[in-house]
Amino acid sequence: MDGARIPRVDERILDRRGLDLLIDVLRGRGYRVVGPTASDTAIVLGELESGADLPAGWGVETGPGRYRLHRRGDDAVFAHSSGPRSWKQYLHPPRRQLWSTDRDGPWEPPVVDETPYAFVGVHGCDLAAIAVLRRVLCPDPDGDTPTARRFRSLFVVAAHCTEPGGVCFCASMGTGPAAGPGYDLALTELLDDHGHRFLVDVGTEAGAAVLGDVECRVAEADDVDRARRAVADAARHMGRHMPDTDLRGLLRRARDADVWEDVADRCLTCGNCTMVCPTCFCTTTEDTTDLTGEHAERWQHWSSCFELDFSHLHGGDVRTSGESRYRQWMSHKLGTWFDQFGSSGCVGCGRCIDWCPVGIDITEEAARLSELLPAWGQDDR
Amino acid sequence: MTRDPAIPLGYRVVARAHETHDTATLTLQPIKDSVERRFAPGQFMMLYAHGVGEVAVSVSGDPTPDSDTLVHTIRSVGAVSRALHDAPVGTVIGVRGPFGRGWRMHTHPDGDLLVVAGGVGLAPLRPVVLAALAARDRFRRLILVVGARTPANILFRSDLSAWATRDDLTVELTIDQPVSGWSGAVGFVTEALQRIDVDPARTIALLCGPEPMMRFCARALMSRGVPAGDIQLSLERNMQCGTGQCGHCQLGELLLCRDGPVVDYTVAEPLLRVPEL
Amino acid sequence: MNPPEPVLPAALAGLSEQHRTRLGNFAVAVRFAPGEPVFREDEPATRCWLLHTGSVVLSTVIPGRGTVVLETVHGGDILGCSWLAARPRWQFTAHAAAVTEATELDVVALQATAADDPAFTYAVTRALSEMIVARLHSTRARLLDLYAGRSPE
Repeated sequence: MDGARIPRVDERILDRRGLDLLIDVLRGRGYRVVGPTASDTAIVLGELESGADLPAGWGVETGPGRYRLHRRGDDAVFAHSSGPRSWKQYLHPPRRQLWSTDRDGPWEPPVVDETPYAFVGVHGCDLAAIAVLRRVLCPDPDGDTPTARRFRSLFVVAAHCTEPGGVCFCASMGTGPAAGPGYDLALTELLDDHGHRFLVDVGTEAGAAVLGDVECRVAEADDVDRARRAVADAARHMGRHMPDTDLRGLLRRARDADVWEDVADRCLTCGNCTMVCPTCFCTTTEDTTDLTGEHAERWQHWSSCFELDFSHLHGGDVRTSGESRYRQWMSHKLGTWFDQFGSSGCVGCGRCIDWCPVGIDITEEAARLSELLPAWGQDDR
Repeated sequence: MTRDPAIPLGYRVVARAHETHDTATLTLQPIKDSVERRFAPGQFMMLYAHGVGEVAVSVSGDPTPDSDTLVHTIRSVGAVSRALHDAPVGTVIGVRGPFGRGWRMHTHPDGDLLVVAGGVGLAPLRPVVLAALAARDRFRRLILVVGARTPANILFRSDLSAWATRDDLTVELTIDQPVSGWSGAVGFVTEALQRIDVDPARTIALLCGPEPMMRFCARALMSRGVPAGDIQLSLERNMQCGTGQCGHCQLGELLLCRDGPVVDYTVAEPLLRVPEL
Repeated sequence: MNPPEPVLPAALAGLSEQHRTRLGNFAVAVRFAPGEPVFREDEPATRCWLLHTGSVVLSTVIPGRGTVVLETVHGGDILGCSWLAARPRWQFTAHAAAVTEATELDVVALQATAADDPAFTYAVTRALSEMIVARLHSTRARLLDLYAGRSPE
C-alpha cells in the first residue's frame, strides 16, 4: 500500500485461474490473505487459503434493516456489496491487549503475530474506509506502534464495483464505485461470453512486483472499454445518495436545533451501526489483574458512542438522552470528522442502513435535516 | 520512530503532601526513562495505579526547572483517583504523556495575566503562576483569584501565603462557606472577580474549575469588555487514550485530549451552550 | 469642615454627567472603623452603600450555631439591597471588618424624586439594581456547591 505509484502503461488481464494464482503468490510471499467468503447467512471476511474460498456465485440483496444472500446465475466472486464485517476488524481488532505488567513495571506490549495482511477484493468504499482509519489510528504514520506497523505492511487488491447494492451510496460520497487511490492492485471483474476474467490496474511498485509472478496477458482495448463502462454504469445505479450539500455546516446547524426527536423516537441506541461501520473507531480500555493482584493487564475493546456510559464524567454521563447520542454519532460521522481528521467519516458503504434493526437510513436523515435547516447563505465557521 | 504513547513509564512516588481531607500532592520521579517531553502548563498525564486503572491528571508542578520530576495534585473522587491519592512514598505509578494543549500565557505583550481558579482547578493553574513569576517582566499585572468551598479546602496554602505577601502579584482568595475563625472574603469567585479592575484591552484570562464556574466567570469577564479570544478555559471530559483515538473525550468538533483541555472561549462558548453535547 | 468629595464606583459610570452630579445631592462620604456596625437585622432599610475600601461582614444568628457569616462585601461592591423590598427592613446584620470607606446613598430621598424626575430616578435605580443582580447570580452559583466532590456510583 505504501509503495511508489507508477503510471499505467498497459492494462493486463488476469483470468479466473490467474486470480487463484495471485492469492497463492501472496501466501507464498508470507502474507495472510483475507477476502470475502460465504458463510451460512452472509458474505463475511475470512482468511483465504486459496481462490476456492471466494464466494463464487453468491450475491446479496440489501435494504434498510435487511440483508439476504442469494444464489447468482454466474460464478462472480466480487459482485456483492458490503457484508456485516469490514476490514477494520483486522486493522483495528475488536479486542486487543495493550500491555501487561507485574507490580512495579515495566509495562510490556504483548507479543503479537505481525504477519502482514493482504486484503483481496476491497471495494472502493472500504478502500476509502481503510484510509480514513489510518488517519485516525496512525497520527504518526512512522510511529512504532503495532497499528502503524500493520498499516504499513498491508497489501491491497481492490475490486472496482460493477454491481452496487440497494443501500450503497459510494458515488455521492466520492469513494466509488471505482476504488482508489491507495491500492497496490485493482481488479474489475468481467464475466460474459468471453469468459471470466479481471482487468488489472497496477497502483504501486509492490503491486507490479506481485503481478509479475502471475500469468497475465495484455488487455485488449475492448476489454478495457467493457470494464470502464461497467464501473461507470454502476455509478448510475446506486441504491441511494447522500444529499449534495455542505454536510459539515448542516450538522453544525443541527447541533443546537430541535430536530433530533424524530429519529430518536425510532433509534434503539443498540449501536449496531457503530459495530458494522468500517470507520467507527471508538474503544474503551479495561484494566484487569489476576487473583493475586500482582499481574495486571490493560486491554482495549471496541465501544460505541451509543453506550450510556461512553461519556461518563463526575459520577454521571454527559449524553444520556437517545437524541444526544444519535446526534453525536451522525454529527461526528458526517460533520465533525472533517474538523478532527480532515475528511468525512462516511464512505457510503450502507452497512449502517442494512444492519439497523429499525432501518434508519443516514442518507434520509441527512436529507431531512437539509430540508429543515437550509443554509440561507450562512457563513459556517 | 517515536515511542508508543500507549505504554506507561514507571515513576516512583518520592514525596507526598497533604493538601486537604481529600486532596494530596504527589512528587514523582522516573525509575528509568522519563517521558519524552517536558510538560507545558495546562497539559496532563495519564496516571496508572497498579491494578486499578488510569486517570487524566493535570501537572501541578513548576515548569521552569529542567528536571524529570513530575508533580501532580490528586483529588480522591473515584477508585483510581483514590488509589493514586493514597499511594505511599515508594509506590510505582505508570505515567503516559504529556498530552493536550496547554495555557497560552503570552498572547499580549506586557499584558495583565488574570488567573481564576475554583476548587481543585487551582492545580492546573499553579504551573502558570510559577512560570509567570519566573518571567515577571513579561507581564504588567499578575492577578490570582482563588475560590474554594471552605477554608479547609484551600490548596497550596504555603504557596498562597507566600504569594499574598508579594507586591508583584495580587491574590484574592474567597470561600463559599465560611467557618468561625475565617476573617477573609466570603462569596462566590465571581464576586472577587467583579472587584478586579480589568483592562479589557490587555487581559489574558485563564480559568479553571467546575464547568459552571468557568462559564459564569467567562460571562462576567465578557460583560466587562474582555474579548472571548482572551479568555481560556480548561475543559474536561471522559479521557482514556490521551492520543485522540478512543473517541471518549469528544466535545463537538474537539478531541479534548488533543485540541484541549485548554480551549479559547470563542471555541468553547457555543459548545458549552448545547446541553448533552 | 467639608467632608471629602464622594467617589462613585464604575457601576454608576454609565450615568450621564448631569445625573451623576444630581446623585451627589443624595450621597455622603462615610467611614466605618473595624467592628463598627453598619446596619442591624430588622431595622428599617433606608440607605445603601457603595464601598470603596475595606470590607463588611453580613451575618445572622442561628440558635445553636451562633453568628454565621453569609457573605463579605468589599471595595467596588454595593452593600444593602433590602431598601428595594416592599417592606424595607434589613434581612441581615452588617458590620465593618476593617477600616471601610464608602459613599452612603439616601435611597428614601432618592426614590422620592421619582415624581419630579423619573428619568433620573430610573437611571440610578437601574444602575444600583445591576449591581444587585450580579450579587444574586453569584449567590445562586454558590448554591450549586460546585466544588463539592461527587462520588461515583
